[in-house]
Amino acid sequence: MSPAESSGGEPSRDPGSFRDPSGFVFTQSGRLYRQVDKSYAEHYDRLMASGLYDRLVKDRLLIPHVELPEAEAAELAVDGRRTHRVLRPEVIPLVSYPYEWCPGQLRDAALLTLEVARRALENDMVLKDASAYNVQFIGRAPVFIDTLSFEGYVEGEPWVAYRQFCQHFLAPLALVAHRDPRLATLLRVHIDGVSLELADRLLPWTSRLRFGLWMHLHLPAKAERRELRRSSAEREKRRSRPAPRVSRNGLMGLLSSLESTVRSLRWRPKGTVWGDYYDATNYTDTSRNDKERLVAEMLAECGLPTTGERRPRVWDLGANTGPFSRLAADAGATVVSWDIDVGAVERHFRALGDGPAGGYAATILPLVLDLSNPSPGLGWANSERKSLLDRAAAPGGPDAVMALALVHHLAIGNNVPLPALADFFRRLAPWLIIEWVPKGDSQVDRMLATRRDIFDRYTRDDFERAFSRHFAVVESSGIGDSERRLYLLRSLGA
Amino acid sequence: MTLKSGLPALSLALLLNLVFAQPAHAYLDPGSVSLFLQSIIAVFLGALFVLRTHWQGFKAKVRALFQGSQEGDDADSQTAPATRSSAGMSSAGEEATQGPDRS
Repeated sequence: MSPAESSGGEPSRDPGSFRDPSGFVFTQSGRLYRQVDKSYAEHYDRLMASGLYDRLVKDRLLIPHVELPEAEAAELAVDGRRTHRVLRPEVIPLVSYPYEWCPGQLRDAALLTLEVARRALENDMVLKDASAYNVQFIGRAPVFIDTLSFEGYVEGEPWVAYRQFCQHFLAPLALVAHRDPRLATLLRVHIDGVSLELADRLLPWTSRLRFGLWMHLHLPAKAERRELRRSSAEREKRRSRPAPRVSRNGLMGLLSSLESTVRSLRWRPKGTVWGDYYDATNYTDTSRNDKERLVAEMLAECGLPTTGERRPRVWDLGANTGPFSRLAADAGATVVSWDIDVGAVERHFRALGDGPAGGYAATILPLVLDLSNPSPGLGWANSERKSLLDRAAAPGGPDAVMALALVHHLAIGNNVPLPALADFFRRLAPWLIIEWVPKGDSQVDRMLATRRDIFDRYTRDDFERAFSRHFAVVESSGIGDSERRLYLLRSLGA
Repeated sequence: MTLKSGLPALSLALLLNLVFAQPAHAYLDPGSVSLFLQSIIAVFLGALFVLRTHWQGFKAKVRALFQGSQEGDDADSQTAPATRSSAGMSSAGEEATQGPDRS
């Protein structure tokens, strides 16, 4: 299901693409394909012939694809007898997951899904699923990636994806807006969305005063609880009733109501750990300017591919609100800006839409990540959703990683030994721009002020020794007006 | 069951529900309750939708009538926003904060 690149000569089915019998995603020779099953032919042809596909793609709501000619498709198809078409979708720079998005991204993904559903209905089609995993981000913009989610509309049928939409989008957004932003991490545990029953228990009672939330979340949760208490005879009797019907206007009203409910679920970051980091730190102007100059020089020096059909890819770890990500984007890279603090990521994401950072909306993707516990392989067989390291190692992974003002947080804040840190970075990218923050630096001293200093192996010598096992030092330079030092490293295995 | 006799029973059930946490959807088709509720709320939301569509159409006509008498051909372009996509998908403009550039 996830349009990411992969390698290998044999067709390899995406391990996350098995739930929907309409087709699946596979890779061959590093190219990504989507196979359309014959059972879905009628719906696919309708999507293409009705003009809905063209309109959605024109407005960048749906990922575009190319249909392979019949002969080529027959050659590539994994199971030829069942194949209607083979498509080659546009590749997403990096597949990200809802548990890595800030609330603003989840909200935009929800609005996109509703907009796609509304347009589908206007063209006599419906969205048969509304999974958050059907949305990906290209820079700031969400795009719907599941071309096989559309089905012909049958008059009177209710929206089968209603409940999934509420679990994947409405419940986590409500929890973030009305309880705590940290509850968005529930999406990492509950891979098919947060159950409405759980959200109902966790939300404050005041959320019931919001009519949209009461109607789409609390009421169904209560009804489900009541259903659980019914006897099996009663349930059987209810099942034998005629199937519920919903008019077309009813569906439009439902989508419109969900949209206004989602729009009302805003979370404003305040008082988070890193949100004001750059305002709170005591970088002098000299050291900040010097650091910017050095990072820009190193980015230019690390030989990122600047020709060919793709832009170089840079991951900025501990990116905060992205000041150095913008330097990498200026150097021509597509950047993923990871940060642990959801407030910083939210601010970064919002700033990309407007203001001084507005010009980076197409090239920077901010995401939430706790490096001390990065996204694992999740779902069936641990492979439906890929781990951070798996995505880094895939062909869509980064060419270079920046780890600025980060080492002390991992080595002292999380007790990770320097050799283990070096080994982790080695697995991410061939190039590494890393900042050494020694003891004596005000940030490190602040971390050590409230705990015993057990870090006798946290010295510049130890740092250089640990990293030189896996990297060659291409350049290193002190940052003016500070004890800090920047290194440009190249992996020995690259 | 009258309202009077039903309330204590419902309260007791809710209380028991809070005390003994049950796994959700353990024994039921997860969609059936949701679909049934959807069919009920969609009647109400559908009516609202129709009313709103008519009201917007009415407003657009009135506006076109007035502007038509004042500006002639401009009427069409003035009514266009009322029929445009309501979601507009991204909330970038609406959400953007004007925080200081930290670069």
